[in-house]
Amino acid sequence: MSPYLLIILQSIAFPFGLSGLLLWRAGHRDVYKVIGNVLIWLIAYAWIIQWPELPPGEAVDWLWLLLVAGIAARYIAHRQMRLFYRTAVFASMITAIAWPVLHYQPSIAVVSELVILIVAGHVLFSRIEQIQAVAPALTLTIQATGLAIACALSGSLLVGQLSAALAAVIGGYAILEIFGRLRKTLFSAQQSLVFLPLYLSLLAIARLYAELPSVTTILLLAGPVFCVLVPWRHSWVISLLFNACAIGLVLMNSDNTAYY
Amino acid sequence: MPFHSKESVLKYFTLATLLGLSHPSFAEVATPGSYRIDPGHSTVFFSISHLGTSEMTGRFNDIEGSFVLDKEQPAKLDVSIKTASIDTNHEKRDAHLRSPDFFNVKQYPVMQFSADKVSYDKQGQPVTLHGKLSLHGKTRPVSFVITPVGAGKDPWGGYRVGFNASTTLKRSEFGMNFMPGGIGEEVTVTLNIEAMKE
Repeated sequence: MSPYLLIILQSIAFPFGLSGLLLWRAGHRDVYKVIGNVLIWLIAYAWIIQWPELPPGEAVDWLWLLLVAGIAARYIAHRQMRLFYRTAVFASMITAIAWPVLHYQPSIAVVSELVILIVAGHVLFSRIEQIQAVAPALTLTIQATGLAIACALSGSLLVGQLSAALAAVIGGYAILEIFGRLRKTLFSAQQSLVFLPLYLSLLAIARLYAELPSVTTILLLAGPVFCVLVPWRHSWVISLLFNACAIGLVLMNSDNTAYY
Repeated sequence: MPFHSKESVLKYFTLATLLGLSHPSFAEVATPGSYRIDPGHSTVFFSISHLGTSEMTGRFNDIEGSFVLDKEQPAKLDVSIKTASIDTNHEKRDAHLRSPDFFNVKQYPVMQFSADKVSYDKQGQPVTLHGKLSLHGKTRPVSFVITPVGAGKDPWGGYRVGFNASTTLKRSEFGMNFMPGGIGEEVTVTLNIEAMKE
């Protein structure tokens, strides 16, 4: 099989197809959708990285634990406790992911970036619990696609593929949101709260290990923050613009070789 | 450079003769002792199949280490290579190779080879190095086949020894599984070492 065909199959066709099937079969049953989508992404993830190490060795090996902890949050009854739990799990995962960099090259800049990411995560989780987000699947699909393209262009095809798989898993919901003229969504807050930490963690991995440029990272972080803080019906356009700028910056800073 | 006069011809001839006289001998067996690797004259090359159609080569530019060359003493060789110094003559590919897809240089900045066993031939030349290679968070036993190149005094009064060592690794054994179809599983690694006696 051609390597490019394999990449498309692993990170787009397989997760998108299976997620579409799940969406068709699960209907409005949220718990099936959450667990089913997580499982689909985990299968794609295991296929892409050739199975994660246990105990986790590299940054990407922590991602499955993040998703499992995200699902577990559903069963913590008290709302305030849930928010604290989500933030604590997210902060712990980001620290674990960043630990090798903090260990070998500790710097105030890296610590500051991580603090900004954790605070942004906390704000996002808190707002998603409180408000009914507009077109959450479309926004997250745009963000994950933007990250996938930026990563693939700037250095790490692996992180790009993992992000593309995330976009593909949510993509079916985004298409339904577009067909529904952005008035209703089948993508629940619970799904957002499980997949958003994953997106933020992939962004952290891309920044720390694949040297995603800082301005690109800021733009990719600003997209979901804007959409959640300004729940306007067409805030996805702003997310799209941020992503276009982020990718444009990567393109401007890279040479002309498309492949090697 | 063109020669313009009789004096310059004589000058170049004298210099060439002096360098020739102090050039390390190719047949000489290296004298026992402790050696430090000369990073300016040592290189680590690797070669790997690309799409099953060609062999792509690259190198690591930052190498350091030392070894003891003595049949009467326990073998000892330590080589450290900075993984971020990978160079395949293509900036974008080098960035990709440094990323988590392959070497993950932020997490694993150094690869290390430590040998604790050397076998010698009848002339006393080292033939095989047995040791452990730590790469990408994994440590695996590795044996290098050695080809002695030369040994002798250098023009600055020191003593140098040079050898090439090569082996074949499986990248999956070191946790580098990404892109199994496009990039080969086996990697040929060659160390071209020049070392100065301490």
